[in-house]
Amino acid sequence: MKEKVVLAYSGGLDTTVIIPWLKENFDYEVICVCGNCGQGNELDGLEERALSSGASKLYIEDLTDEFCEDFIVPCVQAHAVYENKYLLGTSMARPVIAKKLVEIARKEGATAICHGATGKGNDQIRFELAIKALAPDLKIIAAWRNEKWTLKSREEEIEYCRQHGINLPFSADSSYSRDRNLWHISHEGLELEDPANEPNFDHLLVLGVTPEKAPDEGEYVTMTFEKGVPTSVNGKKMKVADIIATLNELGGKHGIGIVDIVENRVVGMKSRGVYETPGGTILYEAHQQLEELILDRDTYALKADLGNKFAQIVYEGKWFTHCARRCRRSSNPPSAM
Amino acid sequence: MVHPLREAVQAFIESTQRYVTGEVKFKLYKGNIIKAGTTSPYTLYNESIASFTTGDLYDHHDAEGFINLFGLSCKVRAMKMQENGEKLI
Repeated sequence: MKEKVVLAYSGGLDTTVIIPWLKENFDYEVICVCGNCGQGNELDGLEERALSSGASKLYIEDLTDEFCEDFIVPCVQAHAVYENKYLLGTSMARPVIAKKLVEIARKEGATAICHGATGKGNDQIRFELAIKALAPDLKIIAAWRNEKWTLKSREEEIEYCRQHGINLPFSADSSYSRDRNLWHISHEGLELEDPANEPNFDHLLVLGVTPEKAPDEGEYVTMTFEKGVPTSVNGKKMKVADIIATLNELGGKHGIGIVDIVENRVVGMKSRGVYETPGGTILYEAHQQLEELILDRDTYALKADLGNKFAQIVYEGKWFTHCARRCRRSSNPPSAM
Repeated sequence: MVHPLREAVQAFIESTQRYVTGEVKFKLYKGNIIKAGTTSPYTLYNESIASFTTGDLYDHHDAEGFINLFGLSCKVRAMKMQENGEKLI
């Protein structure tokens, strides 16, 4: 029987091309896992795409509520902001996805996990530290860093797919490099690569509009919190995921939460990106507003320092630790632990 | 390499959230979030202390002694510098 590998699969060209590559170079049975953290319509047609590219199975796992309750809420409570601007949308999602990859690897008896994060970014670190912490025995294959990886452009990837009998309607033009989930969308690449350029917002924005294009009339929104957890919007009780979705609509419409940053990546380089976090920006601000009334001065000061530290920990991919099982209150610990 | 700091920091943060309960109202307007009222049963904001009309809880005269002690180290240092003929401004 062939050994199995679990592939973190998004459905895009970059992760689709990894399926035939894994089969050809390692002779694995490839099991794809797509963690749904609220990335919207990106999930349409995914199963067909994975199976027709040679995967034996595709798991689409809805992680939205776990993402919100166990990952987003602690960051909101900490006011975790990286380098004064970044609300950690991608950083928070990687560990919840990695945890699911490990769970499925165990269920399937896989011996390896593969991801398609590049060798220049933070996500390789976040995925790999989480996998190491939850399943130190599993082999990790970072396709883009692997010596057997030779593809250097979208054209080459499309050609490789074609040679392996995969004819999918991928476009050869590269757009922005994006990452979307319920909390945010990030944009990198194209004109953003030069900090001298103003972002082409009309082309770029996905979750909302710029302030200039927002309505001339303001709009009120009311939120309640209980013990630091958001519980309602405009008088309606909702789960956290629905609160964020509602605030995303409102915030996007009014041009809230657009951030343009040159950030220091863990791997040493600076990178320029634009983030849209409309609902998250409102939620952070509301929680902060409440704490201004409630926390005493000493707690407030220490919490600000530790919140900053927390942001750094999350940004660097150190969500899970070796004592995760002992310490975490999560209702759903990884089965592997 | 990976260490237990995240849990420790998160435990601190969680313990600060015990009384973070209440309602926040904002007006959203062209990229701005404008405060429109916040209430909480656990607010430590006390209008009778904070307001400019003197209440029973706060005696302005108490501030004088407080500042004398709080500023004592500044004053001691400045006196020493004067004694040594150093310019203070």
